[in-house]
Amino acid sequence: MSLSADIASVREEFAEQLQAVQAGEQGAEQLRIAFLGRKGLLAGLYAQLGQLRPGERPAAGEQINGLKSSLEEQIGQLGASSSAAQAAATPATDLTLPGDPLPLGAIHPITQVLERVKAIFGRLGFSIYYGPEVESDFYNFGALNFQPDHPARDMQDTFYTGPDQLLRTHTSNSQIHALENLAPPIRILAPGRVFRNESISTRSHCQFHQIEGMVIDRNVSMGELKGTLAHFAREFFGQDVVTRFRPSYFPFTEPSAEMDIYWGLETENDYRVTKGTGWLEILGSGMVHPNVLKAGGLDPKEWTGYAFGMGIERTSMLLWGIGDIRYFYEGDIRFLMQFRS
Amino acid sequence: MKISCDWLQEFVEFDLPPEELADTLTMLGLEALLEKPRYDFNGVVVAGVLAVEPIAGSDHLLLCRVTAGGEPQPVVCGAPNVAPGQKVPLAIVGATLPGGVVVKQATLRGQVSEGMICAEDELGLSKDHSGIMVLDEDAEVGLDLKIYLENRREQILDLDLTPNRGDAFSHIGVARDLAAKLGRSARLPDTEVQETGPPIAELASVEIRDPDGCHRYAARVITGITLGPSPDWLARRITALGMRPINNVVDASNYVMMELGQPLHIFDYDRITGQRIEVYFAKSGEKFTTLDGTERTLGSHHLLIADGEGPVALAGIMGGADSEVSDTTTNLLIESAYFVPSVIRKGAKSLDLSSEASKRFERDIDIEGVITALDRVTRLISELAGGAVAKGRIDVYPRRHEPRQIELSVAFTNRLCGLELDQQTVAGSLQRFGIAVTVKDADLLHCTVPLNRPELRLDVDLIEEVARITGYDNIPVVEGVEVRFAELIADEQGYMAPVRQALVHWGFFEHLAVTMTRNSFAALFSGAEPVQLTNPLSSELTTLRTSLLPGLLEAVAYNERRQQTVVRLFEIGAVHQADASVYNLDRENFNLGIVMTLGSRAVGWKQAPASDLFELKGIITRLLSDRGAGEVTFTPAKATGFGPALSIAAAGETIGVLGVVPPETRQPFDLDSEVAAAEIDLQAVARLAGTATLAYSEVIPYPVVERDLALELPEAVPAGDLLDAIWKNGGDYLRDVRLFDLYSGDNLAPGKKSLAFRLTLQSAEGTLTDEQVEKEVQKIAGYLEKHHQARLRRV
Repeated sequence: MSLSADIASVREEFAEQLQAVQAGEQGAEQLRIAFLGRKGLLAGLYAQLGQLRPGERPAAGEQINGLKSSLEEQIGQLGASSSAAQAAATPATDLTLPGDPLPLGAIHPITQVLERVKAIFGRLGFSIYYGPEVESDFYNFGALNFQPDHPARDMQDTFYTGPDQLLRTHTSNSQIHALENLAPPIRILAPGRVFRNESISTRSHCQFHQIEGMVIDRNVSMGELKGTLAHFAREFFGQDVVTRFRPSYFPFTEPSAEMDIYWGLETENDYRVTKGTGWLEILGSGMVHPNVLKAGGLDPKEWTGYAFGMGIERTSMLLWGIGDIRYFYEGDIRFLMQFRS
Repeated sequence: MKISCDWLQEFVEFDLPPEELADTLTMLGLEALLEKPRYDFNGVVVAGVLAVEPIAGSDHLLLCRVTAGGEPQPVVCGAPNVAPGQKVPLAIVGATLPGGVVVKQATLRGQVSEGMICAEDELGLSKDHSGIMVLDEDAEVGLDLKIYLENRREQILDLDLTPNRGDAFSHIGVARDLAAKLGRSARLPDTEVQETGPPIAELASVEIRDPDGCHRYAARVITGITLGPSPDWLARRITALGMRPINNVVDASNYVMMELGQPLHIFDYDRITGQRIEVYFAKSGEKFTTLDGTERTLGSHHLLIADGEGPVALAGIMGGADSEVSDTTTNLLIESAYFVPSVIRKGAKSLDLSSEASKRFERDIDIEGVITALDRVTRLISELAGGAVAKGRIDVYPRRHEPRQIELSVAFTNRLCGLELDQQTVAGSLQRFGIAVTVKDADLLHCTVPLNRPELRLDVDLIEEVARITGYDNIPVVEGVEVRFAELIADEQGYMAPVRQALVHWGFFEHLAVTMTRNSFAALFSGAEPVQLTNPLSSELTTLRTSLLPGLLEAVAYNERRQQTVVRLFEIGAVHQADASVYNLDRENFNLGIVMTLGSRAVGWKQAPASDLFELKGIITRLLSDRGAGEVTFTPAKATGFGPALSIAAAGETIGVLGVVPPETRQPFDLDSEVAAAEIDLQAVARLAGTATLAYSEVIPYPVVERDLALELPEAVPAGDLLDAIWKNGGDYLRDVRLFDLYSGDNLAPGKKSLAFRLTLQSAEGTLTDEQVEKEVQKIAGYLEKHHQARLRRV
């Protein structure tokens, strides 16, 4: 049989089968595979091209190509009309059905604030360093220049777990551990849980979180302390925040400073939280006391440093307007859910 | 401590309005708030009482005719002190009083009352209900009472002093700081005493037997005084500062304490047996009744003031009832002493007794001021109460204080503050505080600190004084930091953040429970010896947690009581156990605790599988293998507090437990919901993860083949054993095996179950032929039939 006869017979065969498809006896896809598929009839025709003399090939090839595009067109029309028919026959998917409710919990607000603070100072080269929650009197008080029987100890009512063992009242214990374990220059941030023997109310709790920072180097000054903390305040509270530094007292720093931010006096609540001054105490700070440097084995003539500490619960309460510190420790998912991010 | 702005003017000149004064002091480190009373009433005016007459039939009600500037109006009043000619606060009809009381027209004993004459307590001004409040005679009738009160109110600053500033616990101390800031000098009050009595040595003697507790004891005697009420100016001043006027003698001593910071004690001279004073430490167990009528048991650290017979006062803390000034007192012995701060602090603390005196002594006082204050109060008492002051004073001073000498480097001052002050400026700043300064060399200053600033001990303390005068706000800000590579250290807990993030995306909320728990809770999941608090806050918070699970279960129960029954929580936190080697991080471990309620979850409109133990097992598998902690294995095990439980191991090391919390463990929390829980040693995970290395291999280009293997087995054969066996005997081509069906029921023989595994096979060398695949699958099936009582159902 000649190639052109084969072409003709394929064309006839297609016409027959097309009718069967139109009658619904056969699928359009099957038709396509039978003729245009990798092992289909057209592929067979192309395979025969090789047996022709080279001079006959272009004309025969053109003939097969013509058949191919004709079949493609007819199958294409078939597909278009059948999918349109199908769409008309079956009801549309209700696209207003809700999307799958994928689960999502939340990171605790305290953790979120801690992470934000860590990120801000992290960009300034601060590393994270941890001190223990159960501590000795020495690391929590003695080495931090708290004199025995000094009223400064009243600032921090302490839980004891043994004669010389207590729950740390501040993260400042990490200062001493860092001084003992790291070689200066030191630039650390010490987050963690601290404890005070205070009755639990809306405004105070027997546990809360602090973040402590300490920098030790040869020429660290109050100017750098101010610059660093003001930068932090802008990053944390917004670029327009106004800060002020005023003298204060902590046994482990001298000079000591309190950093306030201007909070404003627009609402009744502003009056309450700022005691009518508009200013809000955000963190305590100061130049590391020479007795602390000595306790950590450094020469205060050679090394200077600054330290600061901030209460996380208090700051979180301000940030989000949370009225009761106890919410942080109840695990109420109606509370926690609001901190999804 | 409270400071009167007006009174402060007596010691330093300033023309700052009260608000600015408060701000100036705050920026000096004496945090000051201007008191602004809130008047909780409206519609109260100044009224004049025109006439008062009794009401027939009542034994105490009076009918008053009052005017608030207009027509006289009748007001019924029950107070005994109301009298014609008085100016009184009148709440007119419609006025509101504290507590939301609205004043209405009333009829009492047939008399119409148009308003109410108020007592101080009715206006919320004090607790005084002894009679109506009588206003000044020259009060303007009709004036709003709030304006009347504001005009007359002394401007009071409330100082929140830091514990180092004992010197600022008085008007003179605050004045000294303010004067230094303003570049002025503070002046002391008059202390000159007219001595008209006999020499004091004839009247009294003092012996300090324990000078370790008392460095100085001075006294004066005044005879023949007349006790009486204080004059108005004095009563008003001490009232404004929150003290109750008592009599001219006691008020004078309180006045001088607030003026100069020196606590004074005044004895009834005639009740001092033997006219001698001794100062010594109490004997342990000794009893003493303080003037508040409480009998107190003392320790050997309590310092006593005694007369010839026995103790008369608890030194520096509180006097005794027997020697107190009383109505019959005519002769006085005035004590002005220096008690050692730590002795007073320890004594007051151990009795849980804090007084105005002890607060000042424990913060340290001016030892020179002992004499100034003694003379000042003597002068004031003789002015107010008359009498003859004995000649001279007793001044026993066994432990002399010398002014502290400190060398200060100007270069160091500038280095620490970030300032560029010259030597003269630094010296000048210090001199403003009364510090004597001499120049030692081009850098060093030799400083002599006056005894009224005992807390200035080191050069850095002087540097703070320089910074205070300069103003913290004037210290230039350094814009930038210099970081050395050596400062950078790894975050030991850096592994926590991705764990949190993963759990949040599986629907878990992070919880932070309280570290302290009940003793019984600490034993629920752990056999470890817990750490106990020696001074717990309550019986519910006595013990440090040994496990995170009780805190998490408490939170699930908390939510359950609030109709939230589908709860997934986790906590990352420290758990503690008692051990001899305390104070190191090794004894407190950071764990991960997870809890989830079991059963159906109200998710979307598609059907979702119920939560069960295997969901949690899957979460933990994913969590741990994503950390690169090596191969994670679960082994059925018994675990304290759990029902069915698995021990979790990674790289062969046990790192946690997972299981169902049985009803008996939920019962203490009143928790009904079924809960699965897990606790993992997160530090161990971090350690193991640190050793695992990430290995890469080329992606295999050849197709994979999947074959299903359905097996019938006795119920008791664990699926885990079969999975292990398939992995171990799967040959080189086995890439994955997954249990995809578990069935037991009708079509199977009793006691049998069916497990179906999907095997994925692939060769790295080429496309697997049907014969190769068949051979591998048969080999696996054959092994399972031979060793695991399995019967192949179909391939």
